[in-house]
Amino acid sequence: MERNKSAGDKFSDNFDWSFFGVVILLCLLGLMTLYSSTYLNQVEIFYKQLIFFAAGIFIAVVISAIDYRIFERLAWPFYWISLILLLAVALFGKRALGSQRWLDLGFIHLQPSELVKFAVVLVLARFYSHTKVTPADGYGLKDLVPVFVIVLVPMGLIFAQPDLGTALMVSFVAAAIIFFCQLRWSTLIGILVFISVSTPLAYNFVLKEYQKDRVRTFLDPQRDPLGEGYHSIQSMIAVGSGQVFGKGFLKGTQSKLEFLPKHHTDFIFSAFAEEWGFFGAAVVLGIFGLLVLMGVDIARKAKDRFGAVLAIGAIALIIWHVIVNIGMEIGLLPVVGVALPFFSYGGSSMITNMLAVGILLSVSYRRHIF
Amino acid sequence: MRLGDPYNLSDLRPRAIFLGSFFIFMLFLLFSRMWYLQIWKGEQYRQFADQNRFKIKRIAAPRGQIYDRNGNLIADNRPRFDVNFTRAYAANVTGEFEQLQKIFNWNAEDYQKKLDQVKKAGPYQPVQIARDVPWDQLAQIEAHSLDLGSVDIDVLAVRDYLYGDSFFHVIGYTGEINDRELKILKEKYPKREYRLGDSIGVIGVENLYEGVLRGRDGEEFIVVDVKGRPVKKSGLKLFDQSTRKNAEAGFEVYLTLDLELQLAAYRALEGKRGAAVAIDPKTGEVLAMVSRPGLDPNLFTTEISPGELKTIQDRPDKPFLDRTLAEHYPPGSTFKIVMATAALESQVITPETIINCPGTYRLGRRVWHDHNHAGFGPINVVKAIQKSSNVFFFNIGMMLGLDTMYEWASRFGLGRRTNLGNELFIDHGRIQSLKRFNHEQSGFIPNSAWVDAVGNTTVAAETINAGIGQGAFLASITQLARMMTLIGNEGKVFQPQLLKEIRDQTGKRVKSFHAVLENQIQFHPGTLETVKKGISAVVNEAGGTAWRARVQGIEVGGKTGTSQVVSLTKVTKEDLAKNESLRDHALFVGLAPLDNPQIAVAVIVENGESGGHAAAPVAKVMIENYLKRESRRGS
Repeated sequence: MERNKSAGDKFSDNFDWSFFGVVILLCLLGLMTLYSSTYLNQVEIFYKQLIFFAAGIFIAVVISAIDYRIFERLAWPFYWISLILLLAVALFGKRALGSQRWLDLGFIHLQPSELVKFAVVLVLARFYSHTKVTPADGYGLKDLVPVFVIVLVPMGLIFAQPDLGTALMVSFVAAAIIFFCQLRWSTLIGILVFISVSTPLAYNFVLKEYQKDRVRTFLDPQRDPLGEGYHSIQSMIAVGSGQVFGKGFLKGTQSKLEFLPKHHTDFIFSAFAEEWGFFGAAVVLGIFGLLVLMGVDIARKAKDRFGAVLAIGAIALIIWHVIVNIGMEIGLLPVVGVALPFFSYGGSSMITNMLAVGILLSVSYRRHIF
Repeated sequence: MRLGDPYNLSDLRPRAIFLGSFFIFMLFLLFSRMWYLQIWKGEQYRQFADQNRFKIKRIAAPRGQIYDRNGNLIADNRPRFDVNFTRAYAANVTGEFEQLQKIFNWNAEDYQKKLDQVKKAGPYQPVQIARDVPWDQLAQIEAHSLDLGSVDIDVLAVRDYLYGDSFFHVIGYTGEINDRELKILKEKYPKREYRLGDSIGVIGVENLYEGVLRGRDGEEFIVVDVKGRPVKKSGLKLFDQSTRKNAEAGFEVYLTLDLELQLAAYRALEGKRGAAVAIDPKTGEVLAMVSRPGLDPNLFTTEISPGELKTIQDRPDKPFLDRTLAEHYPPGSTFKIVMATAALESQVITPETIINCPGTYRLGRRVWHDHNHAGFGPINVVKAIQKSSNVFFFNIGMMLGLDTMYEWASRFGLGRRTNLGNELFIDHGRIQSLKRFNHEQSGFIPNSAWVDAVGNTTVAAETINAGIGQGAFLASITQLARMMTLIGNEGKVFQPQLLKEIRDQTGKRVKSFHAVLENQIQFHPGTLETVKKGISAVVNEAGGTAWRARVQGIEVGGKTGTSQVVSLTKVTKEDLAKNESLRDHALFVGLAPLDNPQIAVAVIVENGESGGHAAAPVAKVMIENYLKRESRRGS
């Protein structure tokens, strides 16, 4: 604790204000869009999100103040707890829209699959930084067996809910970490071959009919414009009709008249792009790009491997959601239920993202300290 | 296993940059896609969005009503209520279906079928679950509207035919348009805006005058939400506008038909297969046109399954067949009226000429019999008509020759279509495009050229057969009625006319139609009197074949006929007794009152055997109904 005096006297001096500021800016844009989407008939959603926002900021600041190395010890307990919660969902969960994802805790509907994403990041960071020296030519398949077990067990449980989107997100985040910690070229190619072979098999034998429908509809949204393709088409109409400068705040027709489904959750970016146009969309994408650069920079400048992996995992967690969510809203990816960080309404999603932000802030803070 | 240095990040840093670049590249892909959607295709998507929020609500134009000559309503419109179910709006599909089950009392199979249909359709696609719902069920749906969020009621105007099947063929019916018809009608009437689901006239007047009866639908642009519900107060000024184009109803059509006469003829043909046509000889106006069996046209405005339709189409009594126009029959002895006129006009005989009728006629090796095998002895033309002597007209036929008979048959309008109903399409005396009303047949008259062409008969044999309206000879019932108008109107033939007037929805006359003189024959003095004397004797004198057509106080003239179904040489009496469908068709043509003819009728009763027994009573009912009513009105 002596050394940190030289870098700064107070917490605020070392605190990564610029990263925090970018996050706050995104949250404010998100709240603004949410207000526009809900003010006509469900403004209470906006007020709830304000509370989630406040709670999220609080969590981020608290986490940032904690030395992240404590998570090295907490990683496994956190992982086990989230697995138990996932099992609890499977057993006592609340069913909605054909899948079982929520735990009713009375005051809040908890979605444990959100916490699992975070737990996987923690456990992988611990695994990679703690156990052994990195092989010179990267990790081979045999070295990765524990990693696969860590990732596939919760993935399987989430997939069974069924929640294809979150299951894929867990695997994407894990993939980013696995790549980051180097992997043998032969293993990388082997995994890619395995995925390209197993995907068609999984499509035929594992996916549920509604999930297959989504994939088919993604490939051809006009196949069933009043059915599964409806969301995708209406979303693209919303985005495209925004044109260069948008229809203006509170003036989006697609979302106000409810042509755009879930315009406060999964499709909120379309509602934003409708009102703010290409100009607004470019600004938001730019801010997310800035967030990526800052996150990667935090990882590079981390003082230890655990912090670096943790930071990469946290930024990957956020940015994968951004890519998949926006990709789905603008017809680049199939419609899977993935929220847009800082924009989509939802407490669990806000808390997961703010945990990630807190981790990044914490890693950033401590690069100056030791 | 050696622990690595936890503070050495040298291998991780380059990969962090690589991973960062990868994410930036992905964001750039999203950026490019935004550019494509919002700038490259932006205009197009803006239009989509506008279509989304403005719904063009159709205001269905009522179809023009159809009236008889005296302004009695025959075809009206009524609202039909259909119930649609849109799955996406249901909180609980099964729950709502159970609620609906209480209202509609579907059987288990129907219930499951409708539920499956709803589940199979796209979530935002409305599925019709009940059609033509009565008021009491409608009221129950309204009462439970809070529990039935996904149920919508469609209102559309459909036809209401006030007199069931009595006008089936002539008025026709309306049915839902199919893809092929839609294409044709869109080309034909581009401004009428036909769409799938529309009702169009299928046969009869409904079909022939489709372009007049159909109105022009109105439109209303309304701001709607995703459920297609009008947004009254969207909170957005820009949406709260609406424009409206009112619907224009179709024109009202007044026909020349006489409601009471039509119903009288319809009742007189009860239980029979046959047809009756009545025409006013003075104008050519068609007063009645009945073909039985018919169908209730209201059947087609509610719900008829393809299976039920097939069953009806396969019925042996062919209810879809319009026996007044679409079927032709050998005119039989009714043609003797034309023969007598031709002979008198060609002066091969005079009214006083006596021909001996021994009961058989021999030509080479073949012998033809009269229906009275004993024969009628020496008789003149009046007696020959009265008794319907075949031998007399065999002789006359041989005197006239086949081609002269052909010529006279043509003058009486046989062997060609009457083109009934085409008055609407006449413009400056020219018919723009001739339409066939209910598949009207032209009939057929043999001549020597035809005999040469077919080769399996001789001119002499056909001359004999044609002289009594048999053999290859064919005529429709409408043609036979028109034939009588020529006798009744001193040689003047008017184009048979079905359309009297067209009025707009305010009752203002748009167009009226008058008699069109088609042909005029200058008869020698005395010819028509002689023929009339003959047809009067058929009805009114002892020994006439049609005393059943007598009407008290009115001089009715007429002629019976039998239309051979199969050649008599091929069937025995036992066959006839067993198989009704082999029996001859009974025919009667009539004209009344003879001193000032106001109605010409032609009646056929299929397999009715004797014109005097089966067909003449129908004609009597019609003449009596029409003339007694006319005279009452006069007095």
